[in-house]
Amino acid sequence: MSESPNFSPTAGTYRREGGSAARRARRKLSCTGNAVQPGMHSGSYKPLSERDIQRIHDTALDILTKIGIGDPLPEILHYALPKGCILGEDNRLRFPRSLIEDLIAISAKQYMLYAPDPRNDFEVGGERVYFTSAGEAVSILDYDTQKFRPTKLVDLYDAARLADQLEHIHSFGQPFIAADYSHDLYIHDINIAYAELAGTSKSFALGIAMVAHIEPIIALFDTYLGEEGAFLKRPFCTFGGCPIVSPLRFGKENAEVLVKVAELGLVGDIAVAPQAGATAPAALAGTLAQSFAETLACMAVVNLVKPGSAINFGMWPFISDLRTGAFTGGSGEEALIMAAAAQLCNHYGFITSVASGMTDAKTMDAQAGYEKAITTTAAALAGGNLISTYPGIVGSLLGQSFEGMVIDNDMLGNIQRLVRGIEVTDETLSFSVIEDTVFGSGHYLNHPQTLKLMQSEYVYPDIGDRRTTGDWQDNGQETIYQLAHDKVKSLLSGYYPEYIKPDTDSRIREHFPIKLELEDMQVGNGRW
Amino acid sequence: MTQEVNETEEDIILAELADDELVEQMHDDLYDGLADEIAEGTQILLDRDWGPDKVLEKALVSGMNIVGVDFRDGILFIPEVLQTANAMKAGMAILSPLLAEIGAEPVGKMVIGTVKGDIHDIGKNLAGMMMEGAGFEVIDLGVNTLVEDYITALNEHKPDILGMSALLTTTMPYMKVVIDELKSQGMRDDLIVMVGGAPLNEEFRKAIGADTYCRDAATAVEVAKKMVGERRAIAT
Amino acid sequence: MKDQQDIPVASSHRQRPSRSGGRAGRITARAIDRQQKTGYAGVTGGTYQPLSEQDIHRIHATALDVLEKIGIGDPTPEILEYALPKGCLLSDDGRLRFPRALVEDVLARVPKKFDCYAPDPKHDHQLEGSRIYTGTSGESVSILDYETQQYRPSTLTDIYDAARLTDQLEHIHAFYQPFIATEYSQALYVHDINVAYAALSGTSKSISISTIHAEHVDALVGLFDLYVGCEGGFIKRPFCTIGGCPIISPLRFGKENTEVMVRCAELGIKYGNACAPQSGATSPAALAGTLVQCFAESLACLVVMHLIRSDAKLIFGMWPFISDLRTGGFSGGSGEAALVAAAAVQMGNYYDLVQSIPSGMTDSKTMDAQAGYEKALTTTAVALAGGNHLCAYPGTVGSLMGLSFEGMLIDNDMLGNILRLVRGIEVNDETLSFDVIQDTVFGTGHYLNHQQTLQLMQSEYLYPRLADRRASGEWEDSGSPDIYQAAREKVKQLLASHYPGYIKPDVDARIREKFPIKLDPLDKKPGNGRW
Repeated sequence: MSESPNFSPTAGTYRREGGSAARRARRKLSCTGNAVQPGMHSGSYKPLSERDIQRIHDTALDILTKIGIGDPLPEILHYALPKGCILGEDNRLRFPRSLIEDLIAISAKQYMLYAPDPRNDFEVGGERVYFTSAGEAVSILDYDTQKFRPTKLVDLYDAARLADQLEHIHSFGQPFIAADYSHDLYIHDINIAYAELAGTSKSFALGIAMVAHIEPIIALFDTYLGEEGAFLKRPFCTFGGCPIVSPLRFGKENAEVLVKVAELGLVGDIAVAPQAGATAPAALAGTLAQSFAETLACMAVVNLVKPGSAINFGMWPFISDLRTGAFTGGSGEEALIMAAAAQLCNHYGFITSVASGMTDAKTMDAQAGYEKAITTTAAALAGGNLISTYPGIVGSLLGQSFEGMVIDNDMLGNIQRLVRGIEVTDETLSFSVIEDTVFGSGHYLNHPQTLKLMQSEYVYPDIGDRRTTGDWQDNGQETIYQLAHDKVKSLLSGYYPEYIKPDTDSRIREHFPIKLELEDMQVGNGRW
Repeated sequence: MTQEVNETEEDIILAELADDELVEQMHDDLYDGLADEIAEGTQILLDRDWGPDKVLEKALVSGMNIVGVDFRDGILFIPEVLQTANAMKAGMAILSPLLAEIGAEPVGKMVIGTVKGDIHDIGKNLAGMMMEGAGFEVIDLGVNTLVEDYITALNEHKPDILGMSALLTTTMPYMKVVIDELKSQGMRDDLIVMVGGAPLNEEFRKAIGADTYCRDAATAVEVAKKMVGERRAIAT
Repeated sequence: MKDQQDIPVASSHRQRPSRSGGRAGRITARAIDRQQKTGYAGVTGGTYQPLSEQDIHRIHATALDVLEKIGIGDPTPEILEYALPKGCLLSDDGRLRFPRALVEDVLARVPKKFDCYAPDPKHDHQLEGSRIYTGTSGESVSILDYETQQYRPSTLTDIYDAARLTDQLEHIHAFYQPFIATEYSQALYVHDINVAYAALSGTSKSISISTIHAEHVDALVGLFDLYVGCEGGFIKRPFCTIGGCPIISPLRFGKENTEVMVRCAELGIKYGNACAPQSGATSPAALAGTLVQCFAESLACLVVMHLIRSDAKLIFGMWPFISDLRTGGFSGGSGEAALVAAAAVQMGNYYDLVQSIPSGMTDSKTMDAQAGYEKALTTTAVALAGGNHLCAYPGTVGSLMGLSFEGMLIDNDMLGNILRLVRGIEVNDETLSFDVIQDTVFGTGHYLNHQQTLQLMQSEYLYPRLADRRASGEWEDSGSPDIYQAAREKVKQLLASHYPGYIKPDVDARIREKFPIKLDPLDKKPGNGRW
């Protein structure tokens, strides 16, 4: 389907390759990246028909034209009214149909998401799939006690370090807040920026609710880069939040951030998350219509501020459990509606941001596994560009399990393999290989094709258990959660990357109230 | 399904039922969320010289207890519970002034609002409706509530409970601002302060000095009933 | 997308609610609603298509090349008797080669749908198109004991218990023999008869038996006729499918299984072939090549069945398996397994064949997060692709080695979620909800007690049996259990009480008279000490 693996005509001829040492080195390099790579083309799952898409689109435009979005801020009115939006006496901003259609046409259809390390840059667009972490969790699920405890700043640094080592998490969206500084939002926001920068060289995102904090954070990044204005040239961090309060109102602080981000020419990273049955209709199609309208409104705002603006089109319809009214992130309905959202947004060429993996299980058990897998498989096959897969997040977005991040990393590798699809070519169809084998050895295990493909055609999980049952029984009968716990310790106890050089670090600490202690950022801090 | 039941039951004339049957029918009508029928039944009982406190207890509160049990057991879903709360409210609208006249103690009064900066009010609405369903009088200050607005409302309504909600991790610290202001105005001890919202937890409750954190609306109702009862027991 | 459901028009003015019988009425109504949840059986997949149309044609063409030029080895005399007169060629190398035109002709003629009967007609269903029914399946040899976390040999009573559990799980629609009764593995006649008896005793859903002896098929028919109460009764409504693996990959017939297949075709009994070549070991490492070989092998079965009897019913079973090439072991839970199975489903659907497909074959040894995600991602892929008879291996762990009863219950919830996903979103004037949105924005500001919400809260949403959706505090207060623990309690409850009398005492006596039934009547009653 996509590119075919490179079959060398000399396949089957053996040469000296440097023995064990060379093989070990090569395997280490290639085990992790041959079969799948970030940004594979997807979209082979289409839950909606063309006609469904058209009807949802029409209804969303009706909503924007006739019902509009309530509580528009002065900043939004400033940009919107001259372009033909209408403010009603009910203080609702209505968007003319043709304006929305025009803005859809000019909205950015692909752009770069930069990372502190340019090797981790990637371009989003089309139906290419990238996985990211995300969230606003407030607690950590403690492995030993199986209780949730409040998050700390240092946890965020640790989560960043962990994500930095997990190959199938392509970008690091802030997964939780630093609850120890939640009383002082300036200190909080500066420090989460610092902690993420210190822990990962992947592209990252911050959830910022105060527009006033954006410029200080940019100043911090400029200090990191050593040059004023450098960050805006290669912005390796996105700022985001929830500019819409459903149904169909702007939320002041987050909408201010959205406008500011667009003014600065940064990528807007939004999540519009109406909850079906509570803040959106119980009919899933109705929730799609409303959330598409709400997300279109955000898209319209940034493009009114600056035509051609980049925005991660975060249409995140959520589901309620109507027995209690609570949010349920792991349901089949959630998988379905997110996949439909991805398909819908891709249809219009937006950079589709959807969510998955939001299990309702409280711990990393079989329920967490299947809920995360169903929702992520659906979203990935539908072609979501930026999928917030919530690695390790449990409890309906409430808490982070570090072990879960490692478990989910393997799951994400498997799902990417599924997304990659099957290459059908003369070589892969293998007629002559079959012929060789049937009239030859009778098995394929040492056929040159097998040797050639064993790494590029197959993904090998990091901790996923594929031993025999006997082996497992003889070795402590561990669950994947136990195996992951050991793995987390080994990944976090020794890996303290020096992404911020000491002199830069002192300059940053001079200008900003950094609360992350240096001794917590090196081996022997007692945490791991 | 409902159609068939309708045909057999649509003819019930409440005024023709004996007291016992009427109370039983009102339990069913509460359960089915029929506001008009509950108002009608309440009035009939009052006309039969039932005291308002007796109507409240026998017809309404005990009816809502059944609702509570079936909600807990997953028989009734939240949209249905809200219908029952609406019916309860219709009965309370008639009873409240009469209860005040005879000096009977109302179930309780609550001022509720989502804190400044936050306009996510689905949880607050749910809690408010459920409290009304339990017979509480609820004064809803809406969203984005400033500390001054809370204080003004508390002075005006003299409630038993102040309820605050927040969905955003960035707005929840404002609860402490409100509680600190209550302390400095010497009002803190007159109130039960109840907080709720998805990102909150018990540690946060302790840190800001609230009396109770409720993880959902149903818990809020139970805790409110219990704490108001305890407070009154101490007072007497 | 699909209109499986009528959604009442939501009126813009508030309707006066009407009496529905208070508590008693609601409890009755909700019980009925619960039963109706089984309405997810037969949802239509096909929205996920991993292969392009050109890919399909190329795989097809290559598979026909394989059948014509390489053929299938070791054909049995029965096969030759039917195949040679129709133009198949036996070459000097002993391989049976199938002319292209013959295969194409058979593909065009085979039945595109057929009934899948169950002992109780309420569980009958029709296999066709990309409609999905789920079932247990397998040839496991052990049970994963919850307490000890040891794999112990599976027994006949375990089969009976697994059948009873399936009988109570709404998202598992058929009971295909999940494991063998190891204590009778040396006495295959006793084994096969007793497996059938245990299955029939435990469930009234459609069943399947694996046997490797053609003469056992006739014996089983005798047993089923006694159960039905008249000779020839079974064949009129065959509620049991026979399954096996007639192909030994690469591209050879296996004698015993092939004989069973031939016998089923002769008798007109539904047969399910599972052609399970393992990529990199018994089929090419290239996934496309594995599909080619697997398609060719399954087509050979299809042609043989059809040549024997033109209305023969084959559940077309392309089951491409994956190797972990680090060890050569079978890996059932991988992304590759999900992908190649989904592609197989698409192939089968393209030719409109009634087909079976495996999923859920986790490599995890216990019901942990790995089991959860491996089962889910493989099952989601094949369900969205639209595999008819989805052998989802509920509760099976350890790369098909063992069964966890608790796992069956956990997987039941998972299957419900997946079937809900497959059902899709109905898009029409009512569901698009413009009026409802308008009502709400200019009214209460929320939808929780809108009439539409009340109307749809059960039909639009599925509520899991076991999955934990409580608040985290509540979970902590109850001792932080994982779903495996919760399932344990529920399994005990379900198995301690459900002893259905599907085989009436007089029938049972007649069966025991004629057949060596080993399942102790005491084990079929409460108080047997197992649960």
